[in-house]
Amino acid sequence: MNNPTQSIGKAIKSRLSKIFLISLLSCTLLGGCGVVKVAVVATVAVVGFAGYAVYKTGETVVTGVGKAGGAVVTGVGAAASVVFINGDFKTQYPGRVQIVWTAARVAFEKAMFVKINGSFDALSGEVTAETREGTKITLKLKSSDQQTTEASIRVGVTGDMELSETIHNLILKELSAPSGPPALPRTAQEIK
Amino acid sequence: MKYACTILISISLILSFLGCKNAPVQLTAEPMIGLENPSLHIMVKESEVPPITGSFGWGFSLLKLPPEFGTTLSAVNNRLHSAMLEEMTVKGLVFDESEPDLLLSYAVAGGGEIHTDELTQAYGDMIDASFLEMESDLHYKHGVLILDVLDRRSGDLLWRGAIMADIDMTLPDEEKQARCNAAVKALLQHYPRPGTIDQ
Repeated sequence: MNNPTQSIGKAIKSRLSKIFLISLLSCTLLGGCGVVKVAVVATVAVVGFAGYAVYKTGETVVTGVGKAGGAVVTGVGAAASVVFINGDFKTQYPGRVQIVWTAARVAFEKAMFVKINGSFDALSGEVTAETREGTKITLKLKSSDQQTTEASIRVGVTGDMELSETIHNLILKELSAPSGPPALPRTAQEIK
Repeated sequence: MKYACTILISISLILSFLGCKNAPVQLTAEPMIGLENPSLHIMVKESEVPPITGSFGWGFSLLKLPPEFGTTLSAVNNRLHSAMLEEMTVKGLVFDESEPDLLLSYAVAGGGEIHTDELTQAYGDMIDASFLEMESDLHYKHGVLILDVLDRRSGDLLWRGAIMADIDMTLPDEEKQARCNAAVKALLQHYPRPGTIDQ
């Protein structure tokens, strides 16, 4: 005959086994590898984007320490940021509008573009020209601050990154000439 | 009882393996040609699954490359466009420059950094970036490539992937396309959602 205490023990052991197995089965069915999911999704709170899940790996990930220095050129030849969007080649040049405008004008003349026109004031400027084949080039300038001018170059109707970059390099070359940027005209009318 | 236990344990083990197969996986950054210490950062809009059907076109290209990088901006642009075109086409999207459903933008900095303000500034009026409210001031460090996928009509940023690494500046020209392809593939393998694609 079985001891009643042993029978109760066996019954409890059996039920615990069932509960464990059912729990394991439920976790498997409902969560799959739930531990992995939690590990990945847990990074969301770290960055704190509203409405975005963030996943990351490695050590050189984004950091919240300071700013990257913005998109401003710190000198001729530095890694200026260039944005090409909707056919416009947008960048920045060191110096005031007048300096950049003059450098661009000289660069256009040296490149033997034709129909060179334009004007400037302290806040903005524009130079237009055409290549020998009749492709229109438009350079728009806007003062960013005393040391920086924002520029937008467009070549042709839809834009051309390669030709825009060539023009950008021609302007940079004038700005970084050993003799310094070209001399400023006294007025915009003077060079017309 | 013994048989029941054995069967239940067997079923549990089988289902565990099946569960793992479909579960999200940790991001990994495999070794890539010309890139050292790569790390990944993927951001996905939670309320909307980025589509893998329809069309895509180019958004902006933001380039910050130092002169010692030894290449033209347009060459880098062409390499990246080629790599992105291939990866997105493989996923089932069709390239359409005129009126695409999705816009694919990218930013690249060789050995430098990119601040999220620069990305927002590059978009200009294309999107209202106010929905991207961030609690901290972020910038992407090291040599970085950032890919953005936007819904062109709504202007919503659906997916952003960034890969950061030390860039080998001495890599021969003929291997630079392979490096671009590897970096773009490493990012876009996590599109539309990390771990939810076939590996």
